[in-house]
Amino acid sequence: MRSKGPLTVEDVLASKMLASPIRILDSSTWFKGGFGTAVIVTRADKVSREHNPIYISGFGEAVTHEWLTDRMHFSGVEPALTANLHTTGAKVAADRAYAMAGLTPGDIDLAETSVPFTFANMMALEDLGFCKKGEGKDFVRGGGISYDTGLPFNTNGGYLSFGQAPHGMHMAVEAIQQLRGQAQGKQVTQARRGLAHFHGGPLAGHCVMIFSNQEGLQ
Amino acid sequence: MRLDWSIGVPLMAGPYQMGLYEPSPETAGYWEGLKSDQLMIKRCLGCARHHHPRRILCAPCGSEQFEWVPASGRGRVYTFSTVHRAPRPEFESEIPYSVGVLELEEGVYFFSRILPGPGADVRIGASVQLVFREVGPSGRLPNFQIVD
Repeated sequence: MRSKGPLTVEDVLASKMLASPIRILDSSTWFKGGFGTAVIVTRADKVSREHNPIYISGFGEAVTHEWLTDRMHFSGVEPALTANLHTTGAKVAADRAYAMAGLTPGDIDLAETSVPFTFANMMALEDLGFCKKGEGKDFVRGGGISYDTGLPFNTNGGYLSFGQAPHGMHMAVEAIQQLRGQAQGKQVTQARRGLAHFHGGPLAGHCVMIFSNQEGLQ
Repeated sequence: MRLDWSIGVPLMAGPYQMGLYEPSPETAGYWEGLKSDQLMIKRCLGCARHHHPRRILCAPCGSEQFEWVPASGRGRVYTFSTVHRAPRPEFESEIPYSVGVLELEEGVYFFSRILPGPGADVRIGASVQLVFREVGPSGRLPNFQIVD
C-alpha cells in the first residue's frame, strides 16, 4: 500500500479496529490530492487512429438513495433492488452498461472500481456480475482477481492501495491507459475491454462504463 | 442539554463545521418532537404507510398528504457496527459503542446509537426500545436499547 509496501492478511487482521468489522487496513488510504484528471470525448468519426482512441461500448447509471436508511425504502428496480444493504445501484448500472454494449461480464478483461473498503470491493465484484451475490470472498480467495489468471482488478492499486483519488474519472483513465497499452503501473497484456465503476455518497449513486480499444468491437 | 434544533445546529466533523442540521418543511415535525422526547414519524393519509426519513411524496400511492405521529418506540436491530475509534474527542469516553439500523414496528428504518440492555449485547434481530439520552455534543436524541 503506497509507502507501506505489500500487505499481508496478518497485517490487516492486526491493524486497528475502526468500526467493526472494518479495520484501518480494510479502508482506503487518504489521498492528499495534487493531480488532476481530464478526458477528451468526441465522436468516433472525428478522431484519427494516430490518437489511439478508446471507444465507449456501453454505460449505465443508478441512484438508490441519499442517506443510508433511504436505501431501505428504495425498491425501484425489481428484482435487483429490493430493500437491503447488500446489493447496490452498481448492479443496475452494470446491467444497463452490459445491455448497451451487448456484452457479459465474461467479456471484460480488466475492471476498476471506486469503493473504499475491502468488503465493498467484494460487493462490487458481485454487483458488477463477476461472481454471484455472496460469493465475492470465495471469488477473491480462489484467484478471481489474480493479475495473471483471473480478472485484473483495480490495476493501479485502487482506493485501498493507491488512495481515494479524484473519484471516477481517475478510474476511467486507468482503464483507458491499460487499453492503450500505456499503463503507468503494471500493464495488463492483450486487454481489449475494460470496465470502470464510479460511485458517490454511501454507495448511493453509481455509474459503470465499458471501454474497448477497437472500433466496432462491442 | 436541550438544543433548539428548530433554529439549526452546527454539524461538525472533527474541527470542521460542515454546515447546519436545519429543519425543512418535511422534517420540522421530527425536530419539534425532540423537544418533548418524542420520536415523530410521518404517516401517509392516503395509504397509512409510515415514512422515515423525510418524504414529501408517498411513492407507493402518490399522496402528498401526511400527518406526524409518535413512533411506538419498539423495533429490532437490522444491522449494526461497533465503533472503536471516536469520530471526535467528545466521544472518546464512550468507545466502544454501537450504532446501526433499526427496523421499527411501523415499518420504517432508523439509524441511531444502540445501547446494550441489562445482560444483553447488541445483536442482529434483538428487540429494542426507544430511549432519549444525551449524545455527546449533539444534545438529547432518540436512541434505542436492547430489551431482550
